[in-house]
Amino acid sequence: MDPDGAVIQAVRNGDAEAYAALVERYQPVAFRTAYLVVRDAATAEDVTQDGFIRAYRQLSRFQLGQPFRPWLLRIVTNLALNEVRARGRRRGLLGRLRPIEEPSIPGPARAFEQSERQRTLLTAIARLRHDDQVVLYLRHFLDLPESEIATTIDQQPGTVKSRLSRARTRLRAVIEQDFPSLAPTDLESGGDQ
Amino acid sequence: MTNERRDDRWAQWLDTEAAAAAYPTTPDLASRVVAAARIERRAPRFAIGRAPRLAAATVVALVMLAATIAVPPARTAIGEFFGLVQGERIEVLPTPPPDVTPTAFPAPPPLENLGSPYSLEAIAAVVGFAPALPAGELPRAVFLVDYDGVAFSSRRSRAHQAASASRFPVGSCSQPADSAFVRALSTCGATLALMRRFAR
Repeated sequence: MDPDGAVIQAVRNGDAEAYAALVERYQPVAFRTAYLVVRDAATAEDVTQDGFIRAYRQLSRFQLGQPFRPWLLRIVTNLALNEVRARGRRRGLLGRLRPIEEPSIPGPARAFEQSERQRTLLTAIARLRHDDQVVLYLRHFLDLPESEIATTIDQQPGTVKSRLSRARTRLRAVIEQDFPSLAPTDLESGGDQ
Repeated sequence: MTNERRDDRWAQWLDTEAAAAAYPTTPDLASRVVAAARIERRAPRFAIGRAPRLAAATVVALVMLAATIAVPPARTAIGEFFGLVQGERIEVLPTPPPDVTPTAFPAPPPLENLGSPYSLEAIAAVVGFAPALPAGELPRAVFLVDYDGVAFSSRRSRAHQAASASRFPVGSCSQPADSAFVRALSTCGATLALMRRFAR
């Protein structure tokens, strides 16, 4: 049995403390996933913690032998998207039309060094639909293999490649139109051939 | 450059940019999550003791619902509320004496409480005429009812058409039915009403 499977089995048998091993192993990727979606460190922390607790509750439904990471990230991603949608509703119509451009609450997110270039790229990605954003974050920022991306976004593995390609095409259009200085210099702009 | 080649190049570019991304420091959540997990383990979301109460409340609610549905008037009222039953009630009232001004007749109790369903033919045999019905519309239910000495006709369902009408006191009526049905009944000496009830 893989290390995660052994821990999960122990937790299922009533050893709640054993769950700490899973939390410590996956909290970096879970937190980064949440942060990329909600773009606010304090909110991302809450979302990540809630995600681990929900995963604990649902652990009896986890299929042993399957990778734990994408299963966990699916929970965290859904919670983060729910948070973004709730934030959009709170912001009203304007928030709904332009999902996350800046953190709603100045918090620790501003305390770390984020280059102007990174902020611009994240702003451009935030202009995309939520499902495009998530698939780009999972593949390019978190370096998940396509099989795990498929589990995380609850899609067939065969569709991930095409969804990634479409998301990149839409991102390219946003960058070329609104952030041309960000575009890679060795690629000509313009329509597809 | 082909689309595929361009997409590959953008993918590489994104990989490079994303690799340089900075993130806030990951918080240490293990102790907090495990503390929450301990609480969850001690007090599951549906605690023992709460489940039986929930089950009992559910059973009570279901029994009340079933009892409500079992009473025909209530069932009819619910059906009409949700638009499942569409109906129309025609009442032919006693002919008032010449010096009395007719007044609104109080709404009779629901038919289902007053009588039993019969076929239209049985009703016709008892009252001595064939009730006039709107062209092309068959009533869904016909009841023969003892209602203050009233002959009351309507039709309910095919399953209830075989019953006999003999055990109900019925006012006599010798007038044949025709297009002047209402007027004929109101002059035959009996108080009689016809209920039509149509399925949608």
